[in-house]
Amino acid sequence: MRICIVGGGKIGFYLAKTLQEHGHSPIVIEENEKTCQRLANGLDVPVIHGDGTLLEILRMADISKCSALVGVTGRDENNLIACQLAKKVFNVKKTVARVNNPKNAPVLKQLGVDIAISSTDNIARMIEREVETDAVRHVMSIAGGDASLTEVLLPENFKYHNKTLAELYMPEDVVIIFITRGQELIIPRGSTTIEAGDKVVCVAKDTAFHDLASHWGIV
Amino acid sequence: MEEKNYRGVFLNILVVGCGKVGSNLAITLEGMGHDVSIVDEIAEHLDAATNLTLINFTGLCVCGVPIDVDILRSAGIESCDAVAAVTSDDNINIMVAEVATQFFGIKKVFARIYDPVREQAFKERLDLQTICPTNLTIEAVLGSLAVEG
Repeated sequence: MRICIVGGGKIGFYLAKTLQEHGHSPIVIEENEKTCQRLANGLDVPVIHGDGTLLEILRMADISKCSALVGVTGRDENNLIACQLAKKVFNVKKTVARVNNPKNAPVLKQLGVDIAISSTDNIARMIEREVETDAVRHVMSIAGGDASLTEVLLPENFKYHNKTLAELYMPEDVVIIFITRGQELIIPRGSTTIEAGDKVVCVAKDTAFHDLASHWGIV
Repeated sequence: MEEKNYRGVFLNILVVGCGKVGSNLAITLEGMGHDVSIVDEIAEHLDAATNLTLINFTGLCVCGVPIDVDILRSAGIESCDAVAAVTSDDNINIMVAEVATQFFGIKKVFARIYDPVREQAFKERLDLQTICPTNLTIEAVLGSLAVEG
């Protein structure tokens, strides 16, 4: 897959490297000449020296043939403009923007960027999860980091021990997918009872999960 | 004459970017009776000691990154009738204009875009109201040449 990366800093460099290792053909656009030289020396991918928010430069990179454009410069406005031009002028299907100021994530999404990823926010959340408790294991992020697949180990003194799922408090935006008890897999129904020591795997919006965790007394 | 034109339609106007255009625009609008506030990233641009244009300016000046929604809010964007994005950076102007239009729902929004190609793209495909000083200057020069000829 041909992928255009705007911005050749640390993220751009390693993204290009990883994409290439996975069989894609990245092309990098970078404004700073020295950084371009470093990219060209360190990577075996085409590097274009220029402003990735200029139509001429984007045309030079032949981005109408790219299946995705990723904006990873250190400036949110440049990432936004690169994505918008790719989408509106060159009909690139998928655009991804790095968000430097977490406040801009919803703004960028509303302005037409397909996926807005905030590194600051993601790192903060990951650290928060690690610090929070051993009982909660984060399996994967969903929907750009707004929701997650999470495994919860019910504690020894679980307050809803031997209660059925129907009796439990369950926020709207949480679904329990399965429960494991030792080696046994349990597909949850309303009548399923849960016990201390069970591992509950659920999909939840992050806000709803916090709600659930505090009601269940896990955190 | 002027007073007659603008009486009764005093607007709340936010000027983003306080260089030569921004500060002169702000002071002119204020002179007409509008309520003007300014946002700029650099403190010196907002200080009348270093930016003499602002000596008689009485409106609100907010120093901060213009593409931050909280900075725009603190400058009163939510109660604005019009926004003019005139920083020296095309991309910041475009983003501010889009945020003002799509996020805050402001009807009258202008973005200054120096690069004519970029201006064309955003005017046609993204429905922004844009001003391109490059094109204006070229037109003015061509116009005066035509008169001479």
